[in-house]
Amino acid sequence: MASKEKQGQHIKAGRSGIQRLNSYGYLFCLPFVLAFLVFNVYPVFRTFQMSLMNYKGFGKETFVGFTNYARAFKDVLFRESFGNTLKMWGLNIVLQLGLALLLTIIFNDIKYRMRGLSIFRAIFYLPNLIACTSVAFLFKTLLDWKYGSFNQVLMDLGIISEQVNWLKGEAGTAQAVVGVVGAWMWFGNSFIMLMAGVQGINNSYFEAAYIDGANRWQVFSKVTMPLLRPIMLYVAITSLIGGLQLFDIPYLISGTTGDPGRSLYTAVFYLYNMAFKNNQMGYAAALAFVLFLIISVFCAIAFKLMNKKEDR
Amino acid sequence: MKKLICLLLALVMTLSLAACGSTTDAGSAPAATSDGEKTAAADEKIVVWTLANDLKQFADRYKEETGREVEVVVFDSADYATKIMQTLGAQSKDLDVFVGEPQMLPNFFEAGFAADLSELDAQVSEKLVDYTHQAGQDEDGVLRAVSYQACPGSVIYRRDLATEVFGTDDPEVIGEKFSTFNKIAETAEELNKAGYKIFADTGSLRWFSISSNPWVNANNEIVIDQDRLDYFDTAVQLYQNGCVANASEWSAPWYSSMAGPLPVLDADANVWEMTGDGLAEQVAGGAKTTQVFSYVLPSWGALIVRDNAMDNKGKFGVCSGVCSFFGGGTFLAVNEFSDKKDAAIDFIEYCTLNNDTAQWWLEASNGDVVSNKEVLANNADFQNESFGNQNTYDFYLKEMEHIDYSMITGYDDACKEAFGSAIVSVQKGEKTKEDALKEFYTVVTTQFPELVVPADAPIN
Repeated sequence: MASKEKQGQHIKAGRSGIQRLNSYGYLFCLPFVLAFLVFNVYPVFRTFQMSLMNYKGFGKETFVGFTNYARAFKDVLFRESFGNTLKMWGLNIVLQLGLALLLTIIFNDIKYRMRGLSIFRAIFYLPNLIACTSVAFLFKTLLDWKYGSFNQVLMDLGIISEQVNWLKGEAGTAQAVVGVVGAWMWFGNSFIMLMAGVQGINNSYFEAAYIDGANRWQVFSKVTMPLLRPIMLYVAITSLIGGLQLFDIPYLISGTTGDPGRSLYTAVFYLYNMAFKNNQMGYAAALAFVLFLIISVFCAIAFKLMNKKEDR
Repeated sequence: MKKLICLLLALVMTLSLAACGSTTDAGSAPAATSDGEKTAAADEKIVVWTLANDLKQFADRYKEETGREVEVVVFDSADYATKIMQTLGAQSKDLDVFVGEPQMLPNFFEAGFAADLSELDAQVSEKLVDYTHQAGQDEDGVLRAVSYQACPGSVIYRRDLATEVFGTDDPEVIGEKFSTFNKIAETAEELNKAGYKIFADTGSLRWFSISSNPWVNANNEIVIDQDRLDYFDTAVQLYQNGCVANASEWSAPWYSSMAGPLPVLDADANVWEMTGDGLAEQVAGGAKTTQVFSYVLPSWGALIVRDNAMDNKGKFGVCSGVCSFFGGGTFLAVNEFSDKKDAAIDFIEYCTLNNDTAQWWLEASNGDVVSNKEVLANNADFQNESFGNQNTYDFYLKEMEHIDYSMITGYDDACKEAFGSAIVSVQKGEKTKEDALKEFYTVVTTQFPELVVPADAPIN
């Protein structure tokens, strides 16, 4: 009896100890939660409130309901800029993922046994560390149609006979340049993700496949790709979210005009001009939410497509 | 103990975030005053935010004459408007006077940043050039900003080249050759045959885009009248016939062209990568050259031409163009949230409405056009040796009489930009004129849904 009472007291003492620990946990989380609420949650709600207003960013706010949203869905220029974004992102993701996958296969091949993975990983990731402003000005200089090094090299090698106006000529060429620049910047990040995913696959699967007579392509398609699907999905969706918000490179590379012929005008570029150049903050806020909805739909579709085959 | 230290560190981090973005009063706060009571202006230092160095000279002179301290803070022009919107959006008292160019003023007025200056209205109306009075008023007609300068525009042309090609450098005769867009096209061809380019680039014509009608009329209809169509056609013609030097405004070739011969540049040349020394080397190396005959700029542009003319100094003159126009200008306003409004108004009155100050600035700036009508008239006989001893003040005073401020709308910048893009697309052969105009209407009506395309628009 006495020992049980002592046990009870001990348990009670233990419970208050756990509760004390829990209190400290909450307190340590508090700074982050507060900062998150102030800098992430509040702006979202405030932006939604602005989207329901006719507001210039200063002066009076007039409630207009969902008029801004109706305008966004009829906005020809917004549709055009979103189309531009899709084109540039499309090329980016294909090159980015393709190159990252290829490098992943090479570095992970148990027959090649490539060395220096950590060095190569650092080198491939370096473009991601360069500020976008520097990248934009670097490529503007390299790709200058008259004095740029790129044209000089291609002409010296005989690949082209006359200079190509990469940035101010054809709309498609300029968009392709932005796509390639984006792929160059981000393939290292994708490579690291995919390598992490592949290294999580047990080597015995590959060994077993080779022993059973599978060639490289069969190993890749039947072993590597299915097991890599979750990571691929993560990379694809994060790339989609980031890619559809493309702004910095086209903005800087076009000299803030979106030229040639508005081909580098992306959805966020258009939103930015609406907010800060045309002083239509309410409409820009509505565009932001419409973009959010569109990205959510795209992500849902991508998620379903990539998981569909697995379900089968 | 360790837990306590960790908690304290976490709190410090949280508080440091909360401290970001707080606005504090600069210096000591002045004594509170009741409405209508004048503050002791004599001992109060006021702070002026501006985007050019001019006001530093005004501040120094103000201190010499009145003993009152003025601190002038100069911001880069690219950041200035954003800085003002952010600072005054937080109702800061860090500044007492701020400046704005005419295109910035409507936003500043609507945001409630500029105090009422009605007490100066009678003087402004009497003393200053009319368009500056109108530009300083909000949409209810309340005066909220005053300028010490006026910026009427002109064609700044090379007298020596005019004599060579046209047989005369008389401003009246040369002005006649720039009086309509069709005449500009003819003049351009004549100059081209003689080996000269009428303008550095076709952007020069944009100053004449408001000639007969505002961009948007009272019915919110976008106006593309015959003058604007002529402007469009002339800009395309000059570009496609090689009548311009392809030296974009503010680029190195543009500045170099004021001093002498310029290498002939392709339409696609990247002028932003060029340097003055590089161009001079090309000229010295025997490259094919040309010279730019004229520049279309407001009066401050005439000073830029003068300052970059080098051996061509004295060879320029000014004449009228298709229409009278203005561009830029520094308007002073009082911060609505300032506690030193009386001191601020006193400084603004000194800078803008004092005849002695206007005369001093006219001389000290070596050619800036002041907004004071009486001072300009008193200097009408001044012979400006930088412009071939022409009576430039007399010329500008007469030009300003024709400036019609009622033609200015809040849509002008957007319309001009979209129209310019339409012109460029046709110049480069990317679109037909009709498609370019349709695109222009689409862009403008998308940006401003309240605007409409009139039934008689030139796209059908």
